[in-house]
Amino acid sequence: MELLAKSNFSFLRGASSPESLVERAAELGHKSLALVDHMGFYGSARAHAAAQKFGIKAITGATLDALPGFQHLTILNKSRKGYQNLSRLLTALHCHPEIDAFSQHELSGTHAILTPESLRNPTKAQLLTAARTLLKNFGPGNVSIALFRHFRRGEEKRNRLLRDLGEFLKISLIASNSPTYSQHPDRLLADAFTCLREHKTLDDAGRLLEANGERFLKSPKVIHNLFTDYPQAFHNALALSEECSAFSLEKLGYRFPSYRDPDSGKLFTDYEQCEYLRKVVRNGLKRLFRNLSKNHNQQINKELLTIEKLGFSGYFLIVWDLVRFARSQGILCQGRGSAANSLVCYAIGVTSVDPVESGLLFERFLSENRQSWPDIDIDFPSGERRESVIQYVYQKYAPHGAAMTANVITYKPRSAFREMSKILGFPESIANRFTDLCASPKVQDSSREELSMSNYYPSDQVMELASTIEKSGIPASHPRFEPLLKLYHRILDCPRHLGQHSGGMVFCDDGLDHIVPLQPAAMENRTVLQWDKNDCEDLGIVKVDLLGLGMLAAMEDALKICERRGHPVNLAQIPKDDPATYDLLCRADTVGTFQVESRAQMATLPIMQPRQFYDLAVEVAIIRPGPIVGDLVHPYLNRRTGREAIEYIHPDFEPILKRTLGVPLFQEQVLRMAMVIAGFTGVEADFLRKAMSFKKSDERMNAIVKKLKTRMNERRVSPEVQQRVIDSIGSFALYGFPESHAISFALIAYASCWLKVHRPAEFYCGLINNQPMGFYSVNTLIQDAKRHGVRSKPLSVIHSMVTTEVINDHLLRLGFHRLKGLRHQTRERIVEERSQGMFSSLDDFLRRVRPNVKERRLLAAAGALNDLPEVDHRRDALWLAEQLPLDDLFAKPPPKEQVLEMMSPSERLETDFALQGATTGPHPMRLWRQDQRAELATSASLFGMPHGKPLTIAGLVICRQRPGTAKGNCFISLEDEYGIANLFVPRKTFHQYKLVITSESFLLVQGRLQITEGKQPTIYVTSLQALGISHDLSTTSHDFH
Amino acid sequence: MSYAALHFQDLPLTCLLARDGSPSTQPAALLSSGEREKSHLIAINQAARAFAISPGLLTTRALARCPDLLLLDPDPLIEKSAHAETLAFVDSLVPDFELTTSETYLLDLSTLLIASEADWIAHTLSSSSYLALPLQVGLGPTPDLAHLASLCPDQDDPLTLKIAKLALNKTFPLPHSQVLQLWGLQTLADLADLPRQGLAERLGPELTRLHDITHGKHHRLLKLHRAKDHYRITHQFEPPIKNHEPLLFIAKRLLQTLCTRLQHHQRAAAELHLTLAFDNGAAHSRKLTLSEPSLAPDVLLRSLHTHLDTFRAPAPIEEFHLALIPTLPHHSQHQLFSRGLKDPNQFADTFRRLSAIVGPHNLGTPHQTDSHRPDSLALTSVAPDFQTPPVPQIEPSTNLPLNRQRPPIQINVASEKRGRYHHPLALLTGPHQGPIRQARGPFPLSGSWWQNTWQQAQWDVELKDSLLLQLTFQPPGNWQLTGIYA
Repeated sequence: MELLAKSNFSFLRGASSPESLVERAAELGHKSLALVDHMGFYGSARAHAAAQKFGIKAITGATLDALPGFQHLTILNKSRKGYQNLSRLLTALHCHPEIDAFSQHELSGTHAILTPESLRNPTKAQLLTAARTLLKNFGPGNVSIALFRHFRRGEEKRNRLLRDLGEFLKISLIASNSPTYSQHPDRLLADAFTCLREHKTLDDAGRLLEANGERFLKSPKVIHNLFTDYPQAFHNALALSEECSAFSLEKLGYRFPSYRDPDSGKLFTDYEQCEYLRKVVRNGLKRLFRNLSKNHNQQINKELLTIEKLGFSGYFLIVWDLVRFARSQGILCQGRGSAANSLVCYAIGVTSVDPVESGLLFERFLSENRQSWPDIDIDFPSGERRESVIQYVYQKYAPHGAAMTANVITYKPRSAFREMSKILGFPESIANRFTDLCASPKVQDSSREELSMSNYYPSDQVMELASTIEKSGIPASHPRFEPLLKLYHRILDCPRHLGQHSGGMVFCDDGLDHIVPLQPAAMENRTVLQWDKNDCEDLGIVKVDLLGLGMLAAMEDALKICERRGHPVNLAQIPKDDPATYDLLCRADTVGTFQVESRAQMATLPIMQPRQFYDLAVEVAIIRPGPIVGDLVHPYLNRRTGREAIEYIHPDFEPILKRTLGVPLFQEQVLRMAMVIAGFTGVEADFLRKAMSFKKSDERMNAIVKKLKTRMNERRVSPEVQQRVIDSIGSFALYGFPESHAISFALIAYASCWLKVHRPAEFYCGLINNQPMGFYSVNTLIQDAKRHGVRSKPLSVIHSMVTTEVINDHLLRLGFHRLKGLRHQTRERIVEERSQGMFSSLDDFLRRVRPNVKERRLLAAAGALNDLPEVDHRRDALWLAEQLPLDDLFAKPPPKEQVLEMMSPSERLETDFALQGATTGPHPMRLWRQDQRAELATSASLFGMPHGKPLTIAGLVICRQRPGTAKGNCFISLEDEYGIANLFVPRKTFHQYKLVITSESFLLVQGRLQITEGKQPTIYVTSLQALGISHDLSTTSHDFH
Repeated sequence: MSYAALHFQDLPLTCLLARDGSPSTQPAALLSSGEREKSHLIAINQAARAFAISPGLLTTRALARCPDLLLLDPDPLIEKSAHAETLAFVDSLVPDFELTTSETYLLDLSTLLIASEADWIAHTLSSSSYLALPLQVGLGPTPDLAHLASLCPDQDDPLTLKIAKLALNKTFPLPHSQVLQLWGLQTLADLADLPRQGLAERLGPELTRLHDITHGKHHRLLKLHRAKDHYRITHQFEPPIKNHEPLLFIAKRLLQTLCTRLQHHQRAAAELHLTLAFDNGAAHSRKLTLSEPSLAPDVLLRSLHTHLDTFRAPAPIEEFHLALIPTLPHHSQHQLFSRGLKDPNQFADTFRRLSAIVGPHNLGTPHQTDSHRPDSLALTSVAPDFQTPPVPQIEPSTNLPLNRQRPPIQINVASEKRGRYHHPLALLTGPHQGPIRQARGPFPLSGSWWQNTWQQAQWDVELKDSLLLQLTFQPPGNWQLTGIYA
């Protein structure tokens, strides 16, 4: 019956989670609990789920501020109508704070509660006015006055005043403790939040903190005893909570939008949607298949029947509509995830995988046993093109019909320590040290049982929390050490603020704002709802993920260029068995491609030797932390190369694991293994899938593993097999990868490799125009292009366009987008003015384009003015462009003089890196090597050397990686003018040279050559040092991912 | 050469190294403030340069290149003291000089009779050895050329100075330095070779002036420095004195002199710094802040007298040092504004006497602290201008006046535990005893759980004779009579 509880989703106003409040309420014997979070329903979904679990009712409400005449006003929902009205009011207050909440909004179905905290130090007259305002707007019977007893002086006087007010205006009184935390010890965090909110330390906060620790959740009996002199207040509270309990979030009324008739604009009925979907699918199949096979026919009928039974036809049509819109705008898109298991998705163009041909299981995507909605994630080219699709959704369901799902940002170890040490008065330098220490090695908190670090990182890399704090500069004997530790533990994982999900969108036909309050997102023209994706899923709200993929943007550009140049490419029709593409993959020549360009992928490809499409799907799946943890990569590769015999853990697994040589690599395989070995039903397998996708939820995982063990015991499965099955699941819980997803990604990876082989100029051009993306910098891409016979020409105001362009199959021309600091309008003006007539001179260029002084210098220093008639070299351009042309018709041009000397090659290189982050000239290492006498190894010469040969090599660091799974070892990719050399730095050496490795761009490395599997040379580093390159190039590298 | 420039290179760093006695071979660098991982070097010494380290480099990168690099944080106090020493040194060389930057002084040599420039430089360098700070001396026909010459480590031609280095060190104003570097100009000589007209057309008068400087065609006036030591005076007693009468006599004379100097510069004294040196080697220093800036020797003497009255010298006084800190004099229109204190200095004098009796830490303005803890008071020391310190406004929780017992009286109370709190039934000991007729409470209070935690529960009780008392219970079983309601 507590009606005024606030959770930590009130952001710095409540200290306990909705779940713990509900659990405690159930323990104390409450039949209901109203959560009235500050300005939203942020915690309601979680409270609702917890209330269902603990068998009580969760009442929804909110505490509003900024209402005229009130400091805070609490409003409860009595019915669905009330919920919808309050949700709309909250949306309006967030999106249009200037509105008049009372006069412009319907408030029926809601109940206002005037509390002692509703007004700041109110007089009798102010209270009377406030109560009359509420009566007028909410109506008699929909307003109550709350009395608090927190054992504070002056409280009784205020209660008497409120009692008199209630009697005078015939408003009922209710008893409440208005808890801000579930149990007494949480007061510490409540005080800490007060300090964070008020930007004070605990020492300075004074009376802003609570006078005592009485604002915890109290039992109905205690509340009853507290208000023995106001018995009616207790009974009124009970009655009101019963009244409000009539509505719960189960009755939210959310309905996924129906598809509209494209001709009439009317919403389709369910039947019409089914028919329309059948029509769309039929058309799609006609387009895809000349003759539909029997298997395809059976599959499509089965899928359509399931979709119709489950009532999801509208959902598929809406996703189809999105994809159709994107394609109509020339936007490349492709579904990922389990949608690739569906032939319907393939037929309507959402995915590009034929599941029948790939042998994918439709049930993994959709089955009659599953109660949840299908999950379709669609990749779009990142950037403006994805945004245009998102804006299309916003406009289609406007106003307030669509929003992004929220992402709850929580306190993590570093932020928790920083904030808590700050309010305890410790200097910032201590938090800085803690942050440094946390970076590596990882910090483990022994009091938490989560999978955290110890499962994942080697034990010597994990530090105890207390010792880390001590190392940060707070000795254990410090009187504030213990409070810091306590606060740290309490705040960890508490919500900090709401972010925006990367691509999850929710939409609704008749206004999403009546389902959940919306609020403006940080990005312009976007709104975000107050629940995250899990909350939405729990409440049956359907989310469609519109994700951004840089590679799609690059490929889309490349395809457009191909089309412009007269040799168009249809990705759907490129041969999947192109030997040249597989050759490229086998020699790990994959810089710039999708998924297979990382150092780890490049190291595995020569061993894997992919020769068919499915090999690529396996390749995409195996280089992931999960399988490595599960010790499953090497068995696969060993079996593939014949060094290890193929075995299937259990004979029953053979049909499931045959394609992956007995090694469970895909989530589908793990689910089917559970079904076979433990007799899991489809529903149970789905629960296992969900548990695996909740990466950090040990609770769900433990429950399902327990069940799995019991079932396996019942079936007398040997302990050894049981353990291997559980290990497989454990590693997938960390980083599971569905087969369909791997195939979808492999499609893009294959297409990118095919483009690199057959359309290299267009491929590199697309990549350069869509940076930043991928592992490598533009400079590395330009160098790689050079090695593949595609050279890049420098910027020129005579030739360059805004973006990089393909001149011919072997030549690119860099675009003005590469020049940092050149304004967008200047870039466009250069191209536009040039289209009117070529620049006849520097003066002509300066007069027509009107670049500002900074831009004149930029263009001149980058060599972009060199092609103008009177400019001899970059410095000449700098001297000439520094002076604006005179507008004197009769002035004679001054005689040409060579005042400044031309740049040396190293100066040009330095300038190129500073202004463009890349150079079209020689590689820095070529210039460096010219001055060297010693014969050093190069990335090319490594291939001719024997295993174990000691060597010295130098180069530019383009990638540093130290994944948690590498047991402290570090991998470096070193680029020189010939290619890329791979370095392996053992843990001990890494620690010895840590600063050099992490801070230097050019390295001189000593080590010995190791020829690894696949005949790939790797240098085992024994020592290294900074390379004596005099100038510091502003290079970028891809680090520690 | 008419001008000399003395340049104490990287003074903020070198003064720290001099303090620690670090050898010149120790590579060292001064760090920028902020997070260590994001910090960069703001100054380095010569030894660090050998490791390809330069100012502006990230600290982590510098450590990668030189693991033994000594990293120092700036210390403003040491810097200030080093600056004072260098100032005193320059002041001992010439009467007229300019404090160009915190590290560079420009000296007017025209009033000196110098036999040989080389000798003068050698003499200057040798006489600066006590500072233990690296010093570079440059001579020039113009102030700016002398300044540039002082930046050359080996007294080279100033035009050989690297533009990049000048831009980085910011020791000489170098407009458009980025453009000059973009043009590929390495040294000032390269700049001097450029056509003056072309420079003026492109980069304006600032560069023309720089061009003229390099050609010795620009001659500016020095902004002469006047030391604050002007208001500082020392007197030695021969023989040392044993009582303060002669001291006050001398002090009066000296204060008159100092006040006349202040008056001459339209200044007044804000503080008086007194230092006494005793013949046993000990010393006594005291800063006397005046409530109101004053120029009257009597006012200053009175402050001094009051202090000396309460001071016992451990040994005969050998030296007496007096300094006045100047400030702008106080101005107000006569009788327009009434003042709280007619003579703040007189009041301050009284205050000082009191302070001498009760101790400085026991004197101040009491105020209630911003805490829920009842009767929690703190003492704020009195500001020199007797302004009321900002104190939290705490409203009384009841309209009844409370006579607070200070300290509270420990009493025995018969009580029973109901729920989480002890409820009082009767007062068994103390000045007021008897059964409790009515009790209101508890009012639990607690706080400071992060350090020195406290908790208590207050009760308002009425005894049989209508006496209203405030009781406080402190766990585990301590009752106190904390007040009586009037």
